[in-house]
Amino acid sequence: MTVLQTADWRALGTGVRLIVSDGDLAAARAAVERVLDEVDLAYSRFRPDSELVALNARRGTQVRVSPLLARALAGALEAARATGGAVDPTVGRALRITGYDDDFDRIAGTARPIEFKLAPVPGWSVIAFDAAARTVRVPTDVELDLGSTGKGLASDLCAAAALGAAGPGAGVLVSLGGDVAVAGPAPEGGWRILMAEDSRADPDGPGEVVAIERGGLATSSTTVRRWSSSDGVTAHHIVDPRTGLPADTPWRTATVVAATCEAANAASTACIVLGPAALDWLASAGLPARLVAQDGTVVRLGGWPEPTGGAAP
Amino acid sequence: MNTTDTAREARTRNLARLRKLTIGTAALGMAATSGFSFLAAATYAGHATASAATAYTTSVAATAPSGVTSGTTANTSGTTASTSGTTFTAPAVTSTSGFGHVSSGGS
Repeated sequence: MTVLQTADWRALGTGVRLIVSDGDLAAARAAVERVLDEVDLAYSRFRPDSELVALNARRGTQVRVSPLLARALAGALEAARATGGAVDPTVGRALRITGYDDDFDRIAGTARPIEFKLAPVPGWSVIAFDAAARTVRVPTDVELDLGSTGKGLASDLCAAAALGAAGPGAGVLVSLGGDVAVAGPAPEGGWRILMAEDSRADPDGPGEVVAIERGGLATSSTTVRRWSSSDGVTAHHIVDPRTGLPADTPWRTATVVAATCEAANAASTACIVLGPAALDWLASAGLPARLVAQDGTVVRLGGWPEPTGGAAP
Repeated sequence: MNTTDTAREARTRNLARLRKLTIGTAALGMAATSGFSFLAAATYAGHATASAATAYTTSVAATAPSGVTSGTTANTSGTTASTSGTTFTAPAVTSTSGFGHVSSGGS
C-alpha cells in the first residue's frame, strides 16, 4: 500500500505543496526548500539582492550570470520563441508600471494609482544571451521578468530535488501555486489534481479531477492575481506583449499538461495571451488543455478528458 | 492583387507561423526535459559547478527549433502530434473520480 505524506508552506509569494509517496518527507522538504532559496536568490524580481535585480540594474552592459539564472533565461527565451512572443521575459517594465512591483501578498492590500501605457514590450529578441559563456546583455530600456517560465522551472527543479532526497522507490509531487511537477513512480491511478479557479481551493472540494503520472501541469488565470487602483481600475499579472497591457482575453483560466511544468506554464500563459487563437495553436501543438471562458464555458482539447464521477462540467 | 489573393497569402503566413510555433513548442518540452536532470542535480546539491554550466549550455543548444526530433520522447506516452515531420509527445492526462491530491488554479 502506498503511503502518502504531505507538507504545505509558503515560499516565493505563493503556496507550496509537497507530497511524497513511500519516501522520506523531511528530507524531500529540505531539498525543496534549498531549491526555492536558490531560485529566489537567482531570479526573484522583488528581492533587492537577487541576481535578476542586479542584472536589471546593469542594463546596457554584458553580465555573466550563474548557471541557474542562465538556465532560467534560456527557458524564458525558448518559451518566447516557441510561443511566437506570446510569453516574453521583457514584460518586466510593463508589469511594474501596471503596479505589479512587489510581492503580491503586499500588493493585494494596497490601492495605488495604476498607469496604463499602451506600448508593445521591447521583445525577447533584443536580449543578447550567450548560453555557452553564460553572459547576457539587457538593453537599457528593458526590464526582465521570469515569473511565468521561472515558476514552472522552479516546480520542475523542486520535484527533481525532492525525488533525489526522498529515497529509493519514492515518488513526489510539487505544486507551486498550482503549477505542478511530478517525478518518480506515481500512486495507483496517477497524481490527482483538482481543477479550480484558485489554487488555494481545498483539493477535497467538488470539481473536475484529472490525473497525471509524469510531467507537469500548470494553470494560468486572470482572476486571482488581480489588483485595483484607488479609482477602481483593475489589472492582472499576465501582460500581452503586443500591447504592454494586462491581456484582454476570453479565458478565465487555461490549464495545460506538458512534459515539464516549465513548458506547461509557458503554454498556459500563451493561451491567455493568444485569446481565441489559442484553440488553433493548442490543437496543432497537441498539448492537452482545458480552457475556461469568462462565461464559465469549458473547452477541452488535445486529449484532455471529459470529466467523470459526477464532477462539475 | 485581388482580395482572394490577399486572403490566401495571409492564410499561408498564418499557417507558417503556426507551424513554427508548433515546432518550437515541441523543442521547449523536449529540451526542458533533457536539460533538467543535469540542472536539478547541480541545484539541489547546492553546487553550481562547472559541469552544471556545461549542462545548461547543452540544454540551451538543444532547445533550438531546428533538429528537434530525437529519441527524447521515447519514455513518454500519451498524446502525440506530428507537424512538418516533427513528432512530439505530451504526457497523458486522464479523468478520475475522488478527491484531488492538490488543486491547480490561479495563484
